[in-house]
Amino acid sequence: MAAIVAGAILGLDAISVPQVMVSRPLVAASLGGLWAGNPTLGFWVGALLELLWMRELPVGGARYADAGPAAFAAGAGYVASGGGALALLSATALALVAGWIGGWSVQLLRRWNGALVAPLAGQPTPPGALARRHLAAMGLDFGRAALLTAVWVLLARALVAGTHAGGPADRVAAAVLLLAGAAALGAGLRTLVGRAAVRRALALGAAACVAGLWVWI
Amino acid sequence: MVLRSLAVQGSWNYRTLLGGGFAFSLLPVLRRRYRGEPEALRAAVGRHAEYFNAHPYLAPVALGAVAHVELAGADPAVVSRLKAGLVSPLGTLGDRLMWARWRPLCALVAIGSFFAGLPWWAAVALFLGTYNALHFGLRLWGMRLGWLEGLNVGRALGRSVVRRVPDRLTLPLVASAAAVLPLLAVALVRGFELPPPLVLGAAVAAAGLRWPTWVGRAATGVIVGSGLLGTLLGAAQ
Repeated sequence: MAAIVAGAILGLDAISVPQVMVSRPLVAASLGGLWAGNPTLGFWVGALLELLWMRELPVGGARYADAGPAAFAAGAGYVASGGGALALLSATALALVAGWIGGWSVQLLRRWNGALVAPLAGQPTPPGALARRHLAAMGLDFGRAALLTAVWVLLARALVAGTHAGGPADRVAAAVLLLAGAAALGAGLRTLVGRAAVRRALALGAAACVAGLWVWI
Repeated sequence: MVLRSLAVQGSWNYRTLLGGGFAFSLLPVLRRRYRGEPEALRAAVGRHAEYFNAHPYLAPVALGAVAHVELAGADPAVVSRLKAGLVSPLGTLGDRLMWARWRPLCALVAIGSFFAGLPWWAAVALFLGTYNALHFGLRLWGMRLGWLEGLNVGRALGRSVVRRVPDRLTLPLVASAAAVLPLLAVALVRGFELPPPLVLGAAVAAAGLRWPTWVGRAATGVIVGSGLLGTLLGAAQ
């Protein structure tokens, strides 16, 4: 029950109220990990999801990943698996799919909100009626996020928690995460910043850091 | 009104966008302005529930300005023109400042700090603390600006230093990405006994080749595909 309420609050934060970014995967996956017993493992999932979702901007009517409930469940599922790169890859993949479906549910919610609130526009409206409908819309969002959190947590427990590997499979999974995460970071920055000079600066900075770290390793 | 503005997107929809939330946030002002005039109050609520859009953190600029002119007894048509004129600048500025610069910057700094040795709770607190310092600062600044400037808020917004902040955050954002990448790569290489040249591979994957934006979608697809395959294989073992 605590997980469902937490997930619902995380879902509500993304758009409805109060947008303090506890819904970001960095926070939500850590909280999922905390709920399951190891927030540090949860943070790992959140960090990777943050890089993968960096280029998704919540602007206007765009559809974007519903990160909070998905990352919470993925963090919890990864902790339940006990760790390992294959489980990390599995949790990340589940969160990406869950976030995509969650984004679709947000679009559905917006249509319902339209039916609830839009008819008041331009019409004489008692203040109480507007406030009730506005609060009802937030209640719908809370319920949506609670339902999704319950489903994602159950799925994460069923799928991610049972993913155990070790050896070559873990190394392949770690390599996939590293290279795909890095590519997503590069493409995300291009979306956000998008200037050739900045891309060159990033390339030089990354190369300099890698050269230093190579010596260190 | 600042507290109510936290829920300005609470009934976001495809027809009036922020309209319902704007009217909800403005209710205390409208009740005061039209005290003893129930018909005029109802008409004003309906008027403000019409289409409106802005970045949610900068909606207080419009709320403050509209509160100012409503309490001054301005004509409804003037108020509507004021709101319409603020839609585009408030949206563009907020998206560039908060979504495209500040949020990724705060997240990258937190991720980098974690991989550099900060405990998870400190990294999360760092992210939430730095992000929300600007978030709430922007809301309060916006409300004050709108309230003080009223109909002149558009001009005041154009002169404000906030307009120049996104460009100044570009370099810190890129530098933090350049620092996070090797920290993440080394953590994965060390944690899962990967060959060290993969660190270089990660740098090339991230930065070296001027990726088009579809690469981000492709990377997501690779993780989803291999993750689902890995889940099946791992569960079968």
